[in-house]
Amino acid sequence: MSKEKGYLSFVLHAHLPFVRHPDYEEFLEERWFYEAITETYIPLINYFERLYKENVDYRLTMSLSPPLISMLTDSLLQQRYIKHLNQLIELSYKELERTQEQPHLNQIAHMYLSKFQQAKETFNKKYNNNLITAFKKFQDLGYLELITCGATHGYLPLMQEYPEAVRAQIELAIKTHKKHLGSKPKGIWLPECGYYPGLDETLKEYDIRFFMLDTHGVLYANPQPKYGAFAPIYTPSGVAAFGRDNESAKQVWSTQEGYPGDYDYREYYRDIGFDLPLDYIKPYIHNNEIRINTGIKYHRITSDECDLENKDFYNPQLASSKAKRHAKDFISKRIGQIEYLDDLIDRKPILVAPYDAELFGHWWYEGPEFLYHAIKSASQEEVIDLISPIDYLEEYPENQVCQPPLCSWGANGYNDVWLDSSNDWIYRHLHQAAEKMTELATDYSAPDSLTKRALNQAARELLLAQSSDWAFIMKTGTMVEYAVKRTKAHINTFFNLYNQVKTDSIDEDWLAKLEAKNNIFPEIDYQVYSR
Amino acid sequence: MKKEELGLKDLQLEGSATSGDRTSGTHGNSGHQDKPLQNLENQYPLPKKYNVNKLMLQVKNPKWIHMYWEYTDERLRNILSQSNYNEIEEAPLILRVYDLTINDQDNYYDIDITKDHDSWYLGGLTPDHKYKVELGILTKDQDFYSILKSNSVKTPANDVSDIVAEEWMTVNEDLERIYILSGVGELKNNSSLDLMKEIKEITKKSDLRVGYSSL
Repeated sequence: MSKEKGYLSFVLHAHLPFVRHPDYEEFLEERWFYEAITETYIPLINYFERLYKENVDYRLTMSLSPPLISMLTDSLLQQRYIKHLNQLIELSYKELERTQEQPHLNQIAHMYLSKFQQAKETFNKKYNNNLITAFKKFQDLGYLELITCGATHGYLPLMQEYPEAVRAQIELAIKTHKKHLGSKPKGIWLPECGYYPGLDETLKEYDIRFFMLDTHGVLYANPQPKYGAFAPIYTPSGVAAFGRDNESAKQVWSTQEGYPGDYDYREYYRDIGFDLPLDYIKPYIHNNEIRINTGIKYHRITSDECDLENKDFYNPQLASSKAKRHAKDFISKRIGQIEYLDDLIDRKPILVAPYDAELFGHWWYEGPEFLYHAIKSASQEEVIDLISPIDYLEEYPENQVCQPPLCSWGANGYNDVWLDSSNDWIYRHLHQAAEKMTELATDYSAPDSLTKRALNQAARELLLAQSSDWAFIMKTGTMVEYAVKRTKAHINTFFNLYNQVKTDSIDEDWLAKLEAKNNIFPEIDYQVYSR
Repeated sequence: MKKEELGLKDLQLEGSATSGDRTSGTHGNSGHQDKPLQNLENQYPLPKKYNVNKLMLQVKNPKWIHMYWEYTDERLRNILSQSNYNEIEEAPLILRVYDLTINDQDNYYDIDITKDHDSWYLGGLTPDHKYKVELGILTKDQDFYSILKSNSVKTPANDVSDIVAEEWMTVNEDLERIYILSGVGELKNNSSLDLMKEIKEITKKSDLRVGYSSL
């Protein structure tokens, strides 16, 4: 047995909403996905590979949301990603030429070219365009504990009056996970960490062992959890809830203390998509006219007060050593916590550090490197060990039983973000659609094949409308139009399908188009919604 | 996505406010896909009404509940005639809010609404309490005719529970430190002085409870 006094559990939540528009050659919102592949998923996978080669022992927990799995395994999006990457490589070559008289910039341009080429190597050569096989590989090697999420990241506390809809979110998630990753997930990342009393009963039915809550979700549980947020609690059903460690969270998310705001790190908002003359950058922005981020950025954050125009140049070596230093600092602070807790509690504490995966790389460019060093640094320390929540439950099968309150990890800690004057109008429609889906599923037990297809598509449309991403975007105020459109389109389509099924007048051509476009969950069985 | 809370000025996440004059990053341009976004209302109209009788409560946070409702003409006519009104315009509509945690049928208060309302934010509630609402007509004689009954919901707790397990008391002194380390103070935005006072009160209450306990 090792000498560790406590545990750290990194949990990365990887999710993007299902955005796939085959009817357009280029679609701006699809870039969310392409950028996350280049900047987050591939760098993470490459670091997993490196840790493997360096024989570093660790455990990392990662949720892969079903929409993300669906997009990563979709051949159209895979082909589009390669096209996107080829464009970036082409642009990088042009950048080498453009910056040849500016050695510092030229060095950064080289960095981009090499990273994009490496991305292509990883994506296309190594994993044959399907990154899910990469995650599975490291899962099978024992490093990654892959868990699931809601089928379309539906926010469950605002769905609780429709238990069949909640069940569908869980069941389809588990089926998708199993299909692509080989086994049922042991844990779930509840979308937005949204929990309500009773939800654990449904999770229990699907053999889910654990989920994560924000700190207050555990601290305000009833009765008082004896170990605060430093050990899991069992919900009444016996499914474990792990509370987020507040200190680890702050060091990454906070303005004052957060690492990603360090002045040496890359500035996200200064991008050549905006900086360079339109004539030059045209082929690499949206529809040759709308300036967007290309992903090539030459500046560092510099300072809090600094205007975007006055930012200093980025220095990759400096940023890299900063990431290493921050990683060491992060681990030494966790060790400090564990040493301190050692005197306070009569078991080894677990510090759960959950983050959005896309924070690492996409937003915090040096994030994957930070994670790599943090993992390496932890593996060299005796006091601390990296484990997954499921490993903790094996070591400590006995835990206090407490009932957490309804909670989430959104601003203010409850439903405020997803139930707000900007988005409250959606629930009337989402609920009605859920109710009608259950009615259909209950009434149609042996439909003909065309009706069955329509019922399955109706289920897909409902699920897609339920993504918490749309309510989130409406609340935060940018890209609202797209989120509103997606919500309305899916609900409208759902009710059209409902009417066609009820009146036995299914438009097969239209249905086929829908199936080709919104092709998530090809094996869906609408019966999941029946009473 | 805890993007709301990400305070980093130079690292705003998708959907967050724009940085400077620039469109915010990757996701900054809306209205770019000309065709599908035009005539949003016409292209994907949603029903104004579903011809149902429903009053739905949903918790927003420990002190607020949102509700939406719809009633059918038939139901309305029925209740109007029972309450001796001819037109909806004449009938005083109210929301009757019950706190079910306090076991008393008369524990309610009323909110005046109009026929044009179809949703409401209910504030000033107590955390960890159970509520339900009825929408109906309150006659001049104070007779209440219910049109819609809601589901019942429980507001979440927003504080450390004062219910403790018996064995808890043996680690009382450590409790303060464990909770401070877990970040209870920051969650509540209190000064450390308030926090200490608050935790002392919790632990004192716990002591009291054990003192009173028949166990």
